[in-house]
Amino acid sequence: MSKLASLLGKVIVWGTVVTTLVYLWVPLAVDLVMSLEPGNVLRFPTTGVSLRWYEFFFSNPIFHNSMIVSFTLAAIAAILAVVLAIPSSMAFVRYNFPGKGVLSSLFTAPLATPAVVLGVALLYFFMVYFGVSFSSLVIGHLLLTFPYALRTITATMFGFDRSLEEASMSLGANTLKTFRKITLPIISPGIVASFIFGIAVSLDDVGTASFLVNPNTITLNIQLLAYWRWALDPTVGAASAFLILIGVALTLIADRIVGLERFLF
Amino acid sequence: MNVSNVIRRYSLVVFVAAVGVILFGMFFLVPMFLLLRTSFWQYAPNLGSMRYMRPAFTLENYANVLTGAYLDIDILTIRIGLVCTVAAVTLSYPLAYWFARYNGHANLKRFVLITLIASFLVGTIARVFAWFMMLTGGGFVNALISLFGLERVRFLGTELAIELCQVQYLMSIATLSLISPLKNVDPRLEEASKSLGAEEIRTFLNVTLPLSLPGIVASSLLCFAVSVSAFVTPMVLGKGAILMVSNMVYTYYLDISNYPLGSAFAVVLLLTSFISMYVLEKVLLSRVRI
Repeated sequence: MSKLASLLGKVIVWGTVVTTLVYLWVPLAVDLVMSLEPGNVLRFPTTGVSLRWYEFFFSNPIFHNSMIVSFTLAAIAAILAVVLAIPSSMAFVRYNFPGKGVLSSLFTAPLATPAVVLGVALLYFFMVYFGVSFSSLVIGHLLLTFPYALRTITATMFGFDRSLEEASMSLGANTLKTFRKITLPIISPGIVASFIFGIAVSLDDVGTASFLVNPNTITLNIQLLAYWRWALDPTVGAASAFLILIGVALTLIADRIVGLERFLF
Repeated sequence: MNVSNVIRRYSLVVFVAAVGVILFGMFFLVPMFLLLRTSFWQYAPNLGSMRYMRPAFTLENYANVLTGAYLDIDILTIRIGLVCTVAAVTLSYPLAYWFARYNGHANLKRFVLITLIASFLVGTIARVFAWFMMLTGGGFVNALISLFGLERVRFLGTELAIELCQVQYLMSIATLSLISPLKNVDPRLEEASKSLGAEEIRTFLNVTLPLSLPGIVASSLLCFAVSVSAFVTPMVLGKGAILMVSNMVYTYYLDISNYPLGSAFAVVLLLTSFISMYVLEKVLLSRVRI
C-alpha cells in the first residue's frame, strides 16, 4: 500500500513535469512551424516552407514604424524605471520617514491594477489635462515597470554591507564616487534584472497602450491586433515567432547575466 | 552623524517623496479618482458638442453593470477566473513540489525554470496568436484530431480556448510563486513525521501540504487577479462571442463613448483585483516584501 502510494506520488510529479514542458513549448513550436506557411491561409501541416510572411512582416512600413515605437517606448520606460528605482529603494531600505508605508503601498498599486483600467484612467486624465501623446504612453508604461524595478533593486539592497560605503567615505571618496565605485557594482545584478523585466513588461502590454496610442504612436502589439482583425494570413504567425524569439532571448540573457533564481517570487 | 550623511538622507527621502507625489499622485491617483467620479456621472450623448456625459451623482451605471445581461458578463469573467486559477494552481503545485523538494536533476530543473520564465516573458500577443494557430480550424489540434478520423472541433469562441491560453501563462506565475513557500517547509518536520512511522503520502498530506497552504492561497489570489483582468485573450480567442469585463471597458470607452458605464465596469474590475491583492498582502504579511 505504502509503495503504491509512493509510486502514485512519483507518477503525478513526473507526469506534471512532462505535461508542463509539453504544454508550455508546443504552442510556441507550432507557431514557429505554421509561420513558415507559403500560402495565404494558416494551416497545419504547412503546404511548404517559406519565409514569405517574415519578409512581408519585416519589410512592411506599418510594422516597421510600430516596431520603432515599441522598442523606443520599452527602452525609455525600462531605463526611467531603473533610474527612479535606485534612489527610491536606497531611501526605503536605509531610512525611516513618515509616510513610508503609504508610499510603499502606492508604489505597488499598479501591479494590482488591471492594465485596461490603468489605460482608461490615463486616457481620460490626458484627454482632460495634457492631451494624449507619446509621453502619455511613456508614463503609462513607467507606472507598469517601476514597481518591478523597485522590488527587484530593493531585494538586492537588503543584503548590502553598508560598512563598505562608510569605509569608502572615510577614505576620502565623496558621495557620488562612493555610489559609482561601491554601491552601483553591488546592486548591478538587480539593475540588469529590472531592466530586462522592464523591457519585457513594456513589450507585453496591450491593455494600457490600446487606450493611449494615436495614429503616430501605434505600438507593435496594437498594430498586430488591428492587422489580425482584417487579414487572417500567416503574418501574425511570423510576427509572434519574432516576439517569441525576443522573449526567449531575454530569458537566456537574464540567465547568463544575473541568474534566473532572481525571478522567483 | 556628519553633515554629508544628513544631506544624503534628506535628499533621498525628498526624491522618493517626489516620485510618490508626481508620478503616482498626479498620474495614478488623480486619474483613478477621475475614473471613479466619472462612474457616477450620467451618460448624455450630444453629438453637436462632442460631449457624452454630464456631471451628476447616479448609481445607474453600477446598477447596469451588476444586473441583467451585464451581470452575465461579470459571472462569466469570475467563472473563467476561477477555472483558470484552480487549473493553474493544481498543475503548478506538483511541479513546484518537484522543484523545491526533489534532489538532483539540476539540468532539468534549470531547463524547467528557463521554460517558465521564457513563457512568461514571451508576452501576451505572441502567446495568444500561438494559441490561435493551435486551435483554429486548420490548426495543430484539429490536425491531430483528424488523424484519428474524428470531426473537426470548433475551439475558437469558446471559454475553453481562453482558459487553455490563460492557464499556460498562469503556470509561470503560480509555479514561480509556489517554489519559495515549498522550499521554506522545514525538511526536519517531514523527517520527524516519517521517523514516527507516517508513510510518505501521509507525511505530505499532514505536514507538507498544510504548511504550504499560505503559499497556495497567495498563488491562487495572484492567479485570480491576473485572469479576471484578461483582455487580449478573450478578444482574439473569444472571437467576439465571449466578452470579459476588460472588453466591456474597451467597448464602452472606444467604440460607444459611454464613459460613465465604461468607468463603472473599470471600477468594478479594479475593486475585484484590489480586494484579491489586499487579501494576498495579508496572507503574505510575514514575508518581507515591498
